[in-house]
Amino acid sequence: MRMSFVYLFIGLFAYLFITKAFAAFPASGSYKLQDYGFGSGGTATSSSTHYTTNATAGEVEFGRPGIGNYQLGGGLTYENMSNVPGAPTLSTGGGTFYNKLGVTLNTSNNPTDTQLAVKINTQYVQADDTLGANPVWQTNTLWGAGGFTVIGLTPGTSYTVSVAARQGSFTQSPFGPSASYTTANPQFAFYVTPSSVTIGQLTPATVVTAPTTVTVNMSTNGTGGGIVYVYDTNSGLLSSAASYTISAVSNDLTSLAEGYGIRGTSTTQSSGGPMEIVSPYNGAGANVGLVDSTKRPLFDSTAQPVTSGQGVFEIKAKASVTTKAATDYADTLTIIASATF
Amino acid sequence: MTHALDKTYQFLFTSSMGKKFLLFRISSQRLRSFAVALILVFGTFEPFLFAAPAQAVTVTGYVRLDRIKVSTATGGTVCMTPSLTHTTSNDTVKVTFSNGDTSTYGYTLNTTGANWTATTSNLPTGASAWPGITAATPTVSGQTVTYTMAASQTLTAATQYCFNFPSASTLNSRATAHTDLAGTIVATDTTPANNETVNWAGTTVDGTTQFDSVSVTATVPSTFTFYLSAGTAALGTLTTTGSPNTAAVTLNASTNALNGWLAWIKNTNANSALVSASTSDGICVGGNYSTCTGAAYTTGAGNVHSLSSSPGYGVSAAAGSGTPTIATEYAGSATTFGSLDSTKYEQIASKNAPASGSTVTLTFGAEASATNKAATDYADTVYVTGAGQF
Repeated sequence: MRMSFVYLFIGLFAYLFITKAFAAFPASGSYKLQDYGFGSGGTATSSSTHYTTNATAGEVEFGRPGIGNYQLGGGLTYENMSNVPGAPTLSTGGGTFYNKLGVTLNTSNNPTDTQLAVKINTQYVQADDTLGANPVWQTNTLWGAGGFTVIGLTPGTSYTVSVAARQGSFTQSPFGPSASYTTANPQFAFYVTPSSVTIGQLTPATVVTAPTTVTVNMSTNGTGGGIVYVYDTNSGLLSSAASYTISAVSNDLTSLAEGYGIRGTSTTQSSGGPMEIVSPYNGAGANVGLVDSTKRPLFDSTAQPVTSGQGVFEIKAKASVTTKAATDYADTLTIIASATF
Repeated sequence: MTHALDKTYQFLFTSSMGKKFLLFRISSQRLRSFAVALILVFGTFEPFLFAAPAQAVTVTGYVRLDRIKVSTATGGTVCMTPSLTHTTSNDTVKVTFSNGDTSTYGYTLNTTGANWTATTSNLPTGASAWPGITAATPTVSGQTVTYTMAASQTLTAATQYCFNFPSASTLNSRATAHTDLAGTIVATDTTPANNETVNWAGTTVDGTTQFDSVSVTATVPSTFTFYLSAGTAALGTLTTTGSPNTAAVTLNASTNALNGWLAWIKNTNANSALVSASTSDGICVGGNYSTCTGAAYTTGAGNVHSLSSSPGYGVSAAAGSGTPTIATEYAGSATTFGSLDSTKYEQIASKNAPASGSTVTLTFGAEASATNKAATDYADTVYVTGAGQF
């Protein structure tokens, strides 16, 4: 009988201990785990608007998370992480890019709905391809499967690019191996040869082409390309002795009594561009373009960077039977250029 | 038409009661056609359905210098196309020029800010004048010229704004040629995060092997064309009363001589007479050959005589094409004529500017006296010459 009370007391104590110890589920200031239980093992996921859980327990293999080719191993709970993207491929315009960088992501066999974030130095590429403080997650399709161009970079600066991937919650990979590029500085070179051209005798009523052409040379990595301009001092061929000017025109000299102008004859480049002759200097035959005090576009690189771009133009003039005879007809053409960066 | 190997597919709907309804039936050939059509339609509209992500607009710009030769003063044009709209918030424009190696290449800046006052005339085609820039106050610090707006301005995104700075006492290139002379253009905003920066680069040429200008020269050779339209002027059978007999030839002159051309005339017989060799008689003013009272050439209008019912011989000049000037001594008419000079060339016409196809009509006129001997060989030889006044 006495022993019965002892057992009753021990049982009561055990009941109170167990209910105290196991009824107090884990809780924080804001959240409390209300209940839990043990089932047959396997995988359980649960989601609400803001939260998702992914729990695995036991060693029952049939419940392991997986897709067609991959599945978590049995036993231990493995981290369900996206493949770490390999180093991206960088496009640098042959080393000429100074404020932008072409990036083609390496998805490393992640599924197509995998989202990727691109880190450049301490910043991240934004949806509009600029740099920002916070990562932007997009699929490779949205980034541009064929590559995209990060803009707004600083010339002469080293940039290191790496990529992270995620597919759903709790799957983000670390940023993978990187690729680097140091942006170029703005580049611009331009010159003209020769410095003088003698047209020779202007036989009246005859279109005369100067025996020497003029070549302009331009190279730039400016994203907007380069433009070559021409202007002159006399708006024509001026004879001080005769106080007379053979005026520059934009016209076909064969149809005029007299006139003077230049005509682009050819363009070349080793890469980029291409160079082109700008109207009205792109006429044929004796069609020439006007030169005067206005800086007029003569050649351009079609709004693209260009390397070793060249434009060649010729100088033509025609005197009429009444054009005052003189040996000092002259003009100075000034050819300049600018590149848009 | 159905191919023998075609299969037919049925698409059924099963109700909750387990009853099946036929939705539609289609042959495999039609199904393939439908699939191809679907692919084509999708391919057509795919770019619009899944547009590429929009890329931000980048700020662009340039500085175009008027001269790029070394050791040359130059002005220039500054242009920027902002990527953002700055609403009443663009407060300065800062243009920085390369300092190169600080001694041999690069640019030097005149530190007098007022010299850099901006203008907006003759801007590149399509460019807008930078708002407020002409009223901005330029200051120079180091390699940077800062244009401070009198009041903050509005710049619209994707619009190109430009201004010029003069060449007088502003920017000079150093003595050594160099490429890739990097600088910046900064349009500041009252909100500094919205500042916009463009990198640019200039270049200089040595003027010895590479140039930025071409000296063009040419010669217009002297030209002169002069001739008469005929070598004879037959006066026919002369009358002794009434209007004189006349015969005309045309003088033609063309030249590019700076001061035009001159024409002179001279005859063979003294006292401006038509002489008959067979009768040794002559027709001249005064009618008393060979004395020919009053027939000799004299300067001025007095050289012109009326030959209406009055004996004499001479020439009258009239301006044709090109409005040449006729010498007073030969400014006659259909009945009045100037005496010719056998001793020297006398000017008959001229033009003081280059001319193409100037013409002068030379009309010879003669009237015999009642006592002139009958003959068929009254004649004179007249020479006309000309020259360009270069």
